[in-house]
Amino acid sequence: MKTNLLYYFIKEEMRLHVSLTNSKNYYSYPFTLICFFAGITLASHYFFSGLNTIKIGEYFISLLFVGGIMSGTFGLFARDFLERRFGDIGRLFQNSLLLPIKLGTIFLTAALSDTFFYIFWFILPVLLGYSIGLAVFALASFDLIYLAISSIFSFTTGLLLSFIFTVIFQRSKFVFTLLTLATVGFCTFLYSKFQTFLFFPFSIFYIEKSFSSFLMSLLLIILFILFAYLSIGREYTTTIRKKETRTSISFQKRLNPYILKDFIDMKRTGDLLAKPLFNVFIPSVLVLLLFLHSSLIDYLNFGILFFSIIIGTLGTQMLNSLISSDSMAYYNHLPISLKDFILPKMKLSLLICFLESLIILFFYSYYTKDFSQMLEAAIITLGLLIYNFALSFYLTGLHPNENIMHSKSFLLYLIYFVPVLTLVTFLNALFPTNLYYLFGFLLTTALMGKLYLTLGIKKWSVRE
Amino acid sequence: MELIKAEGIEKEYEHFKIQNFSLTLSEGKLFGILGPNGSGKSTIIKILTGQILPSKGNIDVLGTNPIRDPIKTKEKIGIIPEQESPPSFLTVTEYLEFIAKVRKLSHAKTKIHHWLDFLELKTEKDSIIKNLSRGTKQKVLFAQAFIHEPKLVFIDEPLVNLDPLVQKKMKSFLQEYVAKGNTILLSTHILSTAEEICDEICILKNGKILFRGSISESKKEKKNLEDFFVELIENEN
Repeated sequence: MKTNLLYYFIKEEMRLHVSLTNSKNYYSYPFTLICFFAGITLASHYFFSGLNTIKIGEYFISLLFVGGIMSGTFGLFARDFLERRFGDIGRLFQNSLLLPIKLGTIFLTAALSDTFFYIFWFILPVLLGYSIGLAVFALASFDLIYLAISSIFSFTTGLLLSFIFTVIFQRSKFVFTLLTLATVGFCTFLYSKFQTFLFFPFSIFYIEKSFSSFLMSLLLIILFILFAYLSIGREYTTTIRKKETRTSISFQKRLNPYILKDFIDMKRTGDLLAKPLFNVFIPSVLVLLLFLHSSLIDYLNFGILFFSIIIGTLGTQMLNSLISSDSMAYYNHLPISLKDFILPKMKLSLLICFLESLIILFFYSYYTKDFSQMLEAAIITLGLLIYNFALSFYLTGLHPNENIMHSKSFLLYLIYFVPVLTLVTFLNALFPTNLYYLFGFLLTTALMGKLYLTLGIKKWSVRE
Repeated sequence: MELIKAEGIEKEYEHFKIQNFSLTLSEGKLFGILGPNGSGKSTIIKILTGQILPSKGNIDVLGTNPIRDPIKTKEKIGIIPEQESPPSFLTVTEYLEFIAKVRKLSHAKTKIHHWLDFLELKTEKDSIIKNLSRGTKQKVLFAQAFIHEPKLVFIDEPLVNLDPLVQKKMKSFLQEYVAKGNTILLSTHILSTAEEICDEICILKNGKILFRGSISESKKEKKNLEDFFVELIENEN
């Protein structure tokens, strides 16, 4: 029964993706990843004259942990899915309450299906591409097996942790705060002890290749699965329903009604903070911590600009989360155009991400005791956010998380986005802190954003 | 005056197609599209309101073209969709305020108050829509479709989910609304509803009109609409 459920969850996920574009575009995605990462590895070897494969493995494992954290946030909205509070999207997950299956089993199956999906549709193709790239220079080693195992452990741990935290966030803010403080305290303690953030058993397994760390990683995952199961509880759907009525927020003021509606959605689906926190802030801070305490920051010599790029790229998750929840409501009967739907979401996401980026950049500048590049970094973040939001909408429409995992969208995204990142890096090296360059960059990204938005509206307004 | 003029509408799906569908509808009518499940009733409504595109044909709705400019058409009409999926996290009042803002209504507060009162939604006015029953959501959708007093309203399965008391009230309301010179086009497979309130009907099967006429015309051959409908559909098989 349980195996069947997992099988159908995975099958449904595949069907959903295929239905959004076509099977050729979807099934070729892992091959696209293999080719892309093989190419990246070859190019990196050529440009950097030799690769430190151990270091790359460490970064990859850590980044997958952050990726897992971003993927596991469905604890935030799983409750609403289960109760069919959104529109009639008709996923199996939403109907599973009708079946004689325990709630915890349903949730865990969803988490496992997500893990399987990302392992086969992302982690393994990336590693395969990487190993092909290395093989050309006869650099392949048995490390790759360890890297693959550590990567899967890392992603699963991140996903389960994030899932547990988001479920607890929905159930009790008090317990969530306590648990967060305890986790931060525990991590600080471990950091002070080991002087590195690579203290998770899956990182140690990759570095030391010991059986005990393999066992520890596995035990940690089993423990988290158990904890996730317990945190869901038996009556997750009813116990957390606190208020049946709310005080109205009036639409009669001069505020944009679409922005106000999204604001209410954010307020009532995660007390305003959950989406900004789990989609952008926590992943950005984790990447920041990881790179602050590794040699990569010196290796790439990006400094604060690196974080502008990270936030500018991760920020799309905020927009995606606003789109994903609202696109399940039915608006087709109203005189609402696609522009009315998407533009306010972009504005709200932009405001949130920009404020978050200012906080992160401020703390980074404070930490490095160098505020000289903060304005520059903020402007670059803003420009990248505008460009990336519009580009993401143009390429993936109202199904951003699904459509990006298709060969064509993925390749186009790389083709349109990577040159901008390269340009930023070079221009920054040539004209550091030059205000003309910065405002020129902002203007260019705004104009390009406007173009992609116009093209995207034209592209996705097509009716059945 | 003709409010709807559709000619030669065609739309093809995997399992069925609408073939050469034409319809003209003048003001002051309560027109029903009847048919078994999957006959194309909802598809016709979606095409006429610009929600989906026909593969062939011309449409004029209140002087607008729903194929070329669906937003303009939707501004002038009211639609109650078959599925009840208003935004989950707005309260009833907030949703109606949102609609009023989208439709740029004047005196929105008075109109919202009227509809909350008329549909007996006052106790639920501050409830989040996700927590409402299907029937209450249907009431909210009724309010959003009529709040701007459009000359033409499209309703896909109007009374489904509503309790008998509300059904009775809504039937009277629809008849009174039409008596004021407005027009309603509804689709249903509940024949008693159509028999009770419609001035004129058309019966569809597999996207083809099998009959168009008044209720009394349909009753000429049989005692009631149900017998007429069953015979017509079975003869077509």
